[in-house]
Amino acid sequence: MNPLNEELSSLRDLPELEPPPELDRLVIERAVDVLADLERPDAVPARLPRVEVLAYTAGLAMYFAQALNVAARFLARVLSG
Amino acid sequence: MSETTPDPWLSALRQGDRRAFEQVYARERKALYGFLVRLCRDGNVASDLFQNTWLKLARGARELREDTDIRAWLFTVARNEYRSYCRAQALDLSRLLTLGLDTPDLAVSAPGANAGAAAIEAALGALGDTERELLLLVGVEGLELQEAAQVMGISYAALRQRLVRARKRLVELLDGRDPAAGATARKAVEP
Repeated sequence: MNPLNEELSSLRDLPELEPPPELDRLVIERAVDVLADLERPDAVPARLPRVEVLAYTAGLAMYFAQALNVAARFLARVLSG
Repeated sequence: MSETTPDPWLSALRQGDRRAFEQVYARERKALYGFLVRLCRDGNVASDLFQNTWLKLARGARELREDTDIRAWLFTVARNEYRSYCRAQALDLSRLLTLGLDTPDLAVSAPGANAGAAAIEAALGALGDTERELLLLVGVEGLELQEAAQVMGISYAALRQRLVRARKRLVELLDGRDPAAGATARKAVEP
């Protein structure tokens, strides 16, 4: 407890100073932008590991090669009667 | 705020919660604005520093510690902002003094203030920065001595000593025992 509170009471009676409404609006507006920016790094997807990207690409290539092979065989059968 | 009563909005604020920020803002805006206006003696400068202080809170929300006293944190940042501003202005002020120009009248006027309040405002304005900020923190904003010591970055014992000196000086000014500053205070209450 502040022992000087009693003697400082006249200071407590000073009127409160109200921030202008436009300052309130500006502060809240800018602070909300800042808080929103803080959230964005979490929303950015993590970088894919290189090995996983290579494995996925190789698998996809094999799938297309197989599909092409099936289509070519089917076409050859049709054309040969 | 004591350690046993953690701020109810601190946890949400540390998550970057907008509502928590708005609640803290609504609770502390008047105290912080009043502190800065009375410290700077200039509404425009106070508005800039007020804005900077709140933006620093928004930017640093996630870095706040679990036991942070938000009020003390805000006053500490506001005080540091003011100090930085003074350092930046020191050169300009010295130029004005060299040229012999008057510095602007920076008396604080609050709507509805009576003559007594105006005299106190003028006396506060006549004090040095350190004395004024101490009386504003403890006397006007009602911070506990421990909190005020934390804000000012000094020990509890040093703060008590400074407070006694500041109070004595304020009383002298109000009693007109300092002719130069007393004239400023009297001028403020004259019609």
